[in-house]
Amino acid sequence: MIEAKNLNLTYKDGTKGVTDVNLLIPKGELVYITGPSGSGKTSFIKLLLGIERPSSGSLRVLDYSMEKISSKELQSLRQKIGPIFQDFKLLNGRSVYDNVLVGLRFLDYSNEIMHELSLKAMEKVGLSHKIHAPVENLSYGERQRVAIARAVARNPKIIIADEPTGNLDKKNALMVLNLLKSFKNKETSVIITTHALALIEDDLNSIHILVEDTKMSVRDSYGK
Amino acid sequence: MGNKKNNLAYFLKEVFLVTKADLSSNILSVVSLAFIFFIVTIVFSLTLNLQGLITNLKNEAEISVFFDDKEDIKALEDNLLKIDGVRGVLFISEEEAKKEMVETLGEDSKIVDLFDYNPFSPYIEVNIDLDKLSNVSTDIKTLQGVTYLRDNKEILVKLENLMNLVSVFGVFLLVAISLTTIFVTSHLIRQGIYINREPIGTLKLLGAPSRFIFLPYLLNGFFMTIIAGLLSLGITFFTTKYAFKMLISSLSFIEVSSFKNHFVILFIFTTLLSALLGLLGSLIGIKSTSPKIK
Repeated sequence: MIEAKNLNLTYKDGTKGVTDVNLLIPKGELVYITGPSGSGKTSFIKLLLGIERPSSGSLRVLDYSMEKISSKELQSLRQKIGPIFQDFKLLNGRSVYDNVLVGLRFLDYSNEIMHELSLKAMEKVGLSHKIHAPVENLSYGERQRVAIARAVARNPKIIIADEPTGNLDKKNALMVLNLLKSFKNKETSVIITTHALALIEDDLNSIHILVEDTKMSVRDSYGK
Repeated sequence: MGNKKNNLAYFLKEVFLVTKADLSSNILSVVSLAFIFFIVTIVFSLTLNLQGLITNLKNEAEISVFFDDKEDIKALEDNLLKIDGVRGVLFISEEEAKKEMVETLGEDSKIVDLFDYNPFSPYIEVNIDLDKLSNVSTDIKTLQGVTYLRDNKEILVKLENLMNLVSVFGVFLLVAISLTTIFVTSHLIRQGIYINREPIGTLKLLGAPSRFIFLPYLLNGFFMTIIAGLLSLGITFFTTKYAFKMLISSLSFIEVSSFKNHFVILFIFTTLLSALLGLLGSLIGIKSTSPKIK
């Protein structure tokens, strides 16, 4: 489902994003990408979302070749991904419900299904009681859960969460990780970037990718 | 674009939010555009009035034939009717001539009462085909007993020249105003997109198609110009009702149709023009800004 071969990303100013990445992630996996800040985790996420294009090598995401993807294909790929950004990227001035629903509006769902999927997603993240609240009035944790609900509502093939534990204490970080892990199934992979290695090292049923100085290595898979 | 029926409410709500995000610019743009459209509606109204006036004058094209007192009126009428281009004749007595003038002058007719006698002469009103005015005039002058002939040819020519001038000016004005409107609207939309670049970027990352993302901005420009157009009609209505009416009443001998008669035409013209320019301006604004939002 995700395959990188000799993948490199160099930014316009010459800064390295990722260097010579080779990896294969099958569908339905839980993947942790760990490493210190500035090591290249976010650069890899940007490549997966098509925000950046590979400088060399190849990257395939859900059968789309990212090095030559057209804008139409990119749009289609992004519709199959549920991104959870570090800054959440919620739409201010809109309610929780509107923020969750907006990710479904341009997909081919009927009114009823869109409504149902949104309610279900809000229920999963524990925000059913706040559906009409404006997102700017919510706490940090609640805003994060809105972002999660928006990502999972449309049943994506890949859920990508960029540093979801960044600003949380251990208890809340574990709660968020468990919530994200619960969305993994046969069809849906969950990719989580984090620098909190201590929180995930005991999680054996997952693929661990270690990023160091823009280089990636698959360090642990299913405890092997 | 997903579920269109349900999205209609979403798009309208987004238009409201986009407008609210830059409310002062939107209000200023609407007011500016309203005054721009006001100039258009006034010129258009003037053109319609002039056209109406010329058509009326053409339909009622008449020549007044004055004759020698001793002349046999019946024989003269018969001779007039034989001329090609003459549609009909009507004898106007001295008293009828005076009455007509009193009606035409209205309040100013008191001047007629200053005379101790009736200063008007009888004449024959000859209804003609305007296209044959020159030939008819020449033929009438050759008839025995005709002393003087009065036609409206000069007035008509002057009015037609004025009308042509107004039309040419109107076309130039329309082009200038169209460009200004497109410029103002596209700038407003560009500004709106720039202010909302973050939510637009988010929608792009979620895989939203461009038409879904930018439709609210297109509608924003469309509604802004429509509102400006309607506002200009309101300003034109009140201006015409009070100022223009005063001006026209001083020219009592010219019959100018009121703004109300042209309101439907003006309404359709202004609404269509503002809608079209709004859409064009918005599209240009979107096309020039949307690729820059990542």
